[in-house]
Amino acid sequence: MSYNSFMYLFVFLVVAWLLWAFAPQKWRPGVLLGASLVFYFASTKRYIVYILLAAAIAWGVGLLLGRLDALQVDTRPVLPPDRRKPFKKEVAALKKMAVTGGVVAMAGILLFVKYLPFGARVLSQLLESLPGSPVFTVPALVQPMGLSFFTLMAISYMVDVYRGSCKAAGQYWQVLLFLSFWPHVVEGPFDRYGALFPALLDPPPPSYRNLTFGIQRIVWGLFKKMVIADRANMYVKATFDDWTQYSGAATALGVLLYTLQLYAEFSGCMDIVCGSAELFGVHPAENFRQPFFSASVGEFWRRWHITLGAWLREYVFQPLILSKPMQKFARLCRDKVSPAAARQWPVWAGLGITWALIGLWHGAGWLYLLYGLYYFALQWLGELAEPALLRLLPNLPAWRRTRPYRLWQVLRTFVLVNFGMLIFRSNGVRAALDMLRSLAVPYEGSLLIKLDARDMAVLVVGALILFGVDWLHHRGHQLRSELAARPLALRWAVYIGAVLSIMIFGAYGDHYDPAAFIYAQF
Amino acid sequence: MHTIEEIIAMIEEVKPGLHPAPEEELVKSGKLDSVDIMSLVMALTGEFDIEITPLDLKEENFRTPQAILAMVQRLEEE
Repeated sequence: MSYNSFMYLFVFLVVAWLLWAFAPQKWRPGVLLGASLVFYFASTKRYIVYILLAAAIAWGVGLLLGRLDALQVDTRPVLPPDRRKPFKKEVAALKKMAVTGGVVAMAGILLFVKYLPFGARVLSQLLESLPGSPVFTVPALVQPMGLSFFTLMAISYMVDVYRGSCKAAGQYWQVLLFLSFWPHVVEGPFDRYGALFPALLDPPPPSYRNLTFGIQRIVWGLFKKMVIADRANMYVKATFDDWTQYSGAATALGVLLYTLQLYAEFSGCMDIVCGSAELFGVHPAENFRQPFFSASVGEFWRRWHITLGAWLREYVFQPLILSKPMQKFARLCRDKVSPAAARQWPVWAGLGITWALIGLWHGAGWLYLLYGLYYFALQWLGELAEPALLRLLPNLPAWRRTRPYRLWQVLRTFVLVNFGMLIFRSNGVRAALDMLRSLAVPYEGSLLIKLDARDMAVLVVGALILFGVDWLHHRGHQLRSELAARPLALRWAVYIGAVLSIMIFGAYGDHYDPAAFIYAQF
Repeated sequence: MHTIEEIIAMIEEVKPGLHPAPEEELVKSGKLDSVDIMSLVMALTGEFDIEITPLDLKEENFRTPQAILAMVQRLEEE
């Protein structure tokens, strides 16, 4: 069931909201769980077993961790003083074993389903130079909807309970509701149990504000998806799938439109899902914060797919740097190289591993690895060049505070991100390199590829509205609250105008080929 | 006992061009990002006899040079 389908918007959401709104408060979490399971089952049928299993593992590990904590609190004070420290150590070791087991089990399911065929292919390629080497082939397994999302959310739940930053859920259904909550199970955001669950368990009563704000946000998401993203898809599909036919300006426009498509689509999907959750008084984590006003690629990734970056930072990058092998590596660097190397090299190693994982999270293949390492290279080179730049240009810190320099940084980041988008969307590493080369070859044909002048005009106006709204948010405006304070006639004119623009300019019907939500495939 | 000057000198090494005052905000303002913070953590664990865990990597512990000093002193006492 797609988030922009008639079935979702006008049947599923309406029925779920009515049942939720008219149910007694204590039954409301049950209604949300029932609706989430219906949504998930309707989309995946028997593969629902994966999410049931993930919830069982996460719940079991959380429960065990909670019991161990309780045991420590109850037992330690009554022990003889000389036994207290060893007892604390024993409990800590058991907790570590429990959380490690849970994380390995969850990561194992993800690796097995998503990465096993790729791993077998890589192994075969590595061994093919040896005489009589075996060829490993593993058929691709069906990947249940949202596997990459609910697996990571289950891991974060277990680690948060282990670290004591959230309380373990007492009941299985509570973890199942958190993982399967339909607004975030398909494309995220990666919510945290401690932040989201209180609202799922005890939501505020239905309100006019939540209802209208939720609907507004859903309409805005549909505008981005149907007016901008699905229209841009026509051009993007042609230039990326038949990349050998195009070059120069046609390829460059294809890349630009893909950037626009992906942003409009992914952020539009987040608007639809956050708007859906808002109807029920729940506020999932935000995934975008005007990313195209970023001054560096590092900043871009703190404002684009925010919850994935935060997840990897908190559960991979930081623990990796603080791990014993990395601390050992730091000591080796200090003894053999310099204190500066001890400070930098382990961090760069951790950064490289994290970027590789960000790439591979998007898909099992060399292209995605290249995509992650492209951003690692940019960030690493930026770090390396910084001291030399400061020596060469002593006024650089002062320039960086000026508006023209900030504009240059934003433009530079935009161009670099577009090269990343080229890699990300291309049909393999070779196609990406071909497309990069073809950018320098002039294109003689018409730039109206699969789209007519009217479509292009709609895209330009749509992009101006999208980035105009982003700019206002960037300047600190709260547009929905500001609109809510305007006279009734103006508000309704805006709402009706938005709905009509989707109906009139939406890219649907025989002439168009709307794309499935891109991130739902990861 | 460590001093605020030692902490500021470490921040200046990690982030060339940055010369923060003891109470200057570092995290929300974007003066230190997650990579800078981890480099600073490596410098702190290398120079001082402390162990920093993922639980210590909270914004409040790195908000200002003074907050970093307070964290170092707390970890040394533990």
